[in-house]
Amino acid sequence: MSKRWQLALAALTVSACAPTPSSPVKVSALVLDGQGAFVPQTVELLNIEGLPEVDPITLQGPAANLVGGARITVDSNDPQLQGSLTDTQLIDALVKDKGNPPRGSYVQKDDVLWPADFDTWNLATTYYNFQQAFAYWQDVVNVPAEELTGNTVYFFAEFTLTDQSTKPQVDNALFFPPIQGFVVLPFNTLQKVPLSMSPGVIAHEFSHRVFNRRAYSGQSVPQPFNEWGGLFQTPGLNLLKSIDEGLADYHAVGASCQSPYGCDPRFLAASFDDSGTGNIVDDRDMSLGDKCLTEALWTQYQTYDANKFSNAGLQYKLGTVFASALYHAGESGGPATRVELERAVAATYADTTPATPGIRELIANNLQTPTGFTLALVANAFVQHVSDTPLKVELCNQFMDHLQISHADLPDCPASASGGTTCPALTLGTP
Amino acid sequence: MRLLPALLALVLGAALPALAQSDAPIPYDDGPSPGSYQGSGPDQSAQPYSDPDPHGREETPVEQHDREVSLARFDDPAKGLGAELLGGALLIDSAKGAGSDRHLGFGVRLTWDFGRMMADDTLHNGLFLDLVWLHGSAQAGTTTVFDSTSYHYFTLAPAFELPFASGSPFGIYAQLGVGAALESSTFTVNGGETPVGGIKPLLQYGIGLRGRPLLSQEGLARLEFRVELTRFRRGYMNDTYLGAGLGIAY
Repeated sequence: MSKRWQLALAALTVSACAPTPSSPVKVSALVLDGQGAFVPQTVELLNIEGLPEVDPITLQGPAANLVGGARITVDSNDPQLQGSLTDTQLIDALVKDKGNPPRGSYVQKDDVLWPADFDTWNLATTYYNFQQAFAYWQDVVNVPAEELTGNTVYFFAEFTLTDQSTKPQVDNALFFPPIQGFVVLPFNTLQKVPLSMSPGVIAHEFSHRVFNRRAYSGQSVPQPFNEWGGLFQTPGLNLLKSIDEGLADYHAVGASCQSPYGCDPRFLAASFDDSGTGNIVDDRDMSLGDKCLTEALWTQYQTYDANKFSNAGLQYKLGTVFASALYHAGESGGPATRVELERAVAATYADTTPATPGIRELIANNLQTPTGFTLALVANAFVQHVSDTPLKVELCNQFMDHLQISHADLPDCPASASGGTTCPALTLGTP
Repeated sequence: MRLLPALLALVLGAALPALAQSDAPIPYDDGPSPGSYQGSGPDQSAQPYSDPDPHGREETPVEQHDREVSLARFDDPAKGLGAELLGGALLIDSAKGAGSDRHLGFGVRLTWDFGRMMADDTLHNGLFLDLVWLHGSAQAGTTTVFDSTSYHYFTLAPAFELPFASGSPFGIYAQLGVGAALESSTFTVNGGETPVGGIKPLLQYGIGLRGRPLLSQEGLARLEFRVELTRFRRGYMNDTYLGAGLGIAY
């Protein structure tokens, strides 16, 4: 073969090759800087020993496995959803189109991959945000890596809740337990930083995943939803949904503390409109002093069924009150206090020690007696998992203040806990 | 005035004797026929008329050159050059793994029917070479975070056309070529711009329908048009162009 033909063949071979990034892979992504502004910045996509290496083109790696073009349909009349299904069968029935791996388009300069189009910026940043959430849970909260892997992310999926609308959902990012995966939906009315480009939003969703794995043992349809869901009043389910949301926000703020900008209780402001009053950013800002249990919210939590409670968005309202108590307790000391509480909170999700049962165990203990699964019972479990006495006292004070739980209903609180004065005192039954 | 009757008499007088001759054919005198020789010596009439030198006379360089020049299609004065404007759907490989993203593609194509340099009929009529610039652009994102990307495809691609019939100006063709893709994008966040640009190797292949009918019987100009399905392998991305071209060829 002549040299000319060899060169031509070599050129064609090169044309079919992907970039050859360094290890660790360096890509440019949209990152929050020290001033709170989102700017393109070179970041590293890290490998974890024993887990598959990061592929920057298909965005597969230890932190997440992104999937594009998937179609997920939830239709109560779907024949495939009838009968008793295993978790795998349920995923197969819901994910109508399994989709394909992404194909990020980059321009390589030196050893850095620069996204060459919007979708690739979005994909690379999304993966990086999952990596940051993964790192928070692994390095800060001390959750083993094997508990955090296997995160399928259906990126810009066609996600239809047929019972609500035949049109695909937009403007959302969620962890969807029935498919044991994350779903990032296309944006429409949300025209700020796309949800998946917001590290806080991804940390929030990642925290749902951890809660599901620990408190629900990774069940696609958690057992209490089956057992308690058909009741006329579902305070147990309302509470579970609320603490799930509140804890997700709490850990999202905790994860933000690792960024150059620092702890950001208003992390939703990057993607949601934060002007005016009564907006989602203020409503979910757990640092504000107005996150208190009210008589109305108490009544709703006690009397609404799960659908009515969720449709009114009350799980966020009650969850933020719960998170606010945790947040203020954590902020009572330095960063070490905050981290200690974050670890204690995660340890409360599941604990087989009979004397200090976790949420998973409390659910199991009350599966046939849902009225026994109370706000006070759950709050006391968190108190039990804090070993530092001053922090324990502070946590008790915050629970007594924000959630209006009496000292008597928190048996593990030290005698010195006396509550607080942030929230107005209410006369409620046993929470 | 006496001259004219004399001239008439002379002309008519010269013709009159011929009219008076017999109509019987008059044979040419070809000399003795080969079979008419009756003598005992060599038949002189059988000698070749050419040079008796057994090696023949050598061609002069000019004669040799003239003989080697093909006169095939000496009567086709067209140059085989054409230019077209292109337009169609440019389906850019979706980075998010959702098939492809549709965009408008447009560009310019220069064509040279280089097969005209070849004597073989199939190659003469079938081979041509395209020099193409195709452009597409995309913009995506939110009001706060968005990206504008331009794609420029430059290719040099030989092709082979099979006419529908011998001499038909219409045919189908297949093509394979190489080139480069220039990508330039601007990523904008809250008004701050980050330019990103680079060149990627490009492989082009595809099929199409091509027509080159004469614009008039007398002229050389031809209307050149195409409908094509072309694929571009841009680095490791696969883009598709489905479009048409219209132009003129000479």
